Amino acid sequence: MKMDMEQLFQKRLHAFSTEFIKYAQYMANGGVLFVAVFLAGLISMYYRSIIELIPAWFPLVHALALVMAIVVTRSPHRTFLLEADLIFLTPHETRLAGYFRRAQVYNFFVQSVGLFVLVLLLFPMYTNAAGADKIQLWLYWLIPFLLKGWNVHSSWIFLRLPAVQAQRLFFAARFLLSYLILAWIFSAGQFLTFGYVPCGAVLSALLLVWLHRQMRKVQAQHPLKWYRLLAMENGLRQRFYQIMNNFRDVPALQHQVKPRFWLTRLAQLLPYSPAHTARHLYARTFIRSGDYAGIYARLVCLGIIVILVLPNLYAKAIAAALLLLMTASQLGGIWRQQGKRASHQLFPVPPSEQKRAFVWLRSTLLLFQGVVHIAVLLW
Amino acid sequence: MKALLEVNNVTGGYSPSRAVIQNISFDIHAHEIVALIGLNGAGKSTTIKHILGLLQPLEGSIHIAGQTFQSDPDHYRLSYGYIPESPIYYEELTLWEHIELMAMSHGLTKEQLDQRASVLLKEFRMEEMKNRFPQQFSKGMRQKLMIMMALLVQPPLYIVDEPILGLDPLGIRSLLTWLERCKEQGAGILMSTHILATAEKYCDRFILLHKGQIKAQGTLAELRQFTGLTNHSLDDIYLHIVEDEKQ
Repeated sequence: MKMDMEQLFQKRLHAFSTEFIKYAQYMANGGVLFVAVFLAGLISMYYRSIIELIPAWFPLVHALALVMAIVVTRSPHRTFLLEADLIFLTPHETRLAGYFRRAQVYNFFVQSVGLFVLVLLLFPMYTNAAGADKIQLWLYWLIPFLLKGWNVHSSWIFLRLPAVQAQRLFFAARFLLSYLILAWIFSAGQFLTFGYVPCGAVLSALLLVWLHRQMRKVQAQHPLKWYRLLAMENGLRQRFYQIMNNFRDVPALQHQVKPRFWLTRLAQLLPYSPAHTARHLYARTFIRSGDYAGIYARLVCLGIIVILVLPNLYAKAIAAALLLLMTASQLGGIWRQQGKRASHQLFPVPPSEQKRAFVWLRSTLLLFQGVVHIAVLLW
Repeated sequence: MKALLEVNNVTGGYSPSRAVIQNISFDIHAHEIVALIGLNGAGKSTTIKHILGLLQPLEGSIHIAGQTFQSDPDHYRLSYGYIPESPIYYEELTLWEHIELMAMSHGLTKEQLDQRASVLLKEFRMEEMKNRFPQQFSKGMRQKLMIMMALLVQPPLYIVDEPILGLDPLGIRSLLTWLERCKEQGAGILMSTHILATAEKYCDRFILLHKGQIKAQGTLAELRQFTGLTNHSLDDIYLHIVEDEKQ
């Protein structure tokens, strides 16, 4: 029986979009999205006035090109590959071109959505800085997407390279090319132009030719790297689950564990006593598992920035309160995660004591966040 | 002398409508190792889950040191050491943290912890794994973690589910000699297994479980007398009883 590979991709994309829609519904129902939208609204009210705070000496055009070049160059590839494909699809590697072409188109569109938001966000800064005319604006909106498409295409080919160092080199080359072109376009041809010679453009052209020759070579010499593709797919899928886990528990999410020994020293400050067993456990879960600590740190930092940036005292207070609410809801995941697993009977700690320990951890963290934000507010 | 563990006419399973084990009765005293023997699916793990208080008997009762799970759940759970068949652990705790929290939750002092743990880590050759995570361990190393956690608290009763599978030969020897020492010091041990040669060598009594029922129990001499197979090994006796069932 002959398999239609393009149909296979369609099937998998469909399965994923069904899953996505399911979680999107939960997302729309949840409080976290509401808080995020509210915060975004609050900041956007003051966005223009914040932009005007940027001093004139700041090389805004180059900073914009830099930020955009990073987003344009980073092109992760979702392929919807499954573990079992190592057995079932590998024999058909040469016939999979259609499958992967569709995956690239998918990746281009999905990543373009993020890029669009960024271009939109940076637009007021750009018009402020460059005060650009009509053609300039067209180019501002067009070039990033062209570069995105090219980067998706080329990074897919470089994924065949066996050596990670070589991959990094080509990533750097793609980044340099993207940056040179963006800076040249955004500065209306001023960037690296000496006299009448647009050195930046010449350099870009040379780089582009070199990269394309390399791509041809790589494509001819190296087969697909299945384990890498699979690892990338699994990583991206887990990241999707992790984001969705903020709104609703995702059963398929594997909580990643990071050692973070420098942080667990804090947990070691807790006294050694039977009554503190559960606190030790929850403190370490917070520090190491599922990136709770990462989210917490980001929310605290976000709060500091928002409080510093917003001009109005009430706006500051509302934003800080909302972030506190968001932290509380995120930390709830620790309790839900703990309840779900079999290992909860490993240590003989009664459920009531576990709950108390969790509440203690959450209160401590919220108190710390509150104190930091009030300190910034008063300062 | 009062039994450490008494199982009286227990019938039970995962759902009330379908009993997996029927009319199970046995007891375990201090200073003995008792083997719970049976084929895959004979009901060994189900019996153990009932003893641990994870499943509730439909009929009959289970006492550890005279107490049932219902009468005092917290104290009941502290009164045995359990080595599970498939290791369970927290992904976010290192090996040492597992041991430390185990000691903490059982009320061991810091000195007791340090002293006992260093001996155990050495015996099971896990000293270099102290600050690593069980996620990165092989099955046998995870099994060793479970064993060390149970041995650390030195409970009066040990419940050991298929401890030998997945362990390396040195690990098996360490475990069995350690359990023998616990026995000499007064512990009672229930060990489920289907490796009969090991059971014959180390265990004082045997409980032969087949299709959820106890077919025979007693010392090797008693089993020989029961089956009429004098001078035969436990292996032969067990197969005889199981084959008998078929006919």
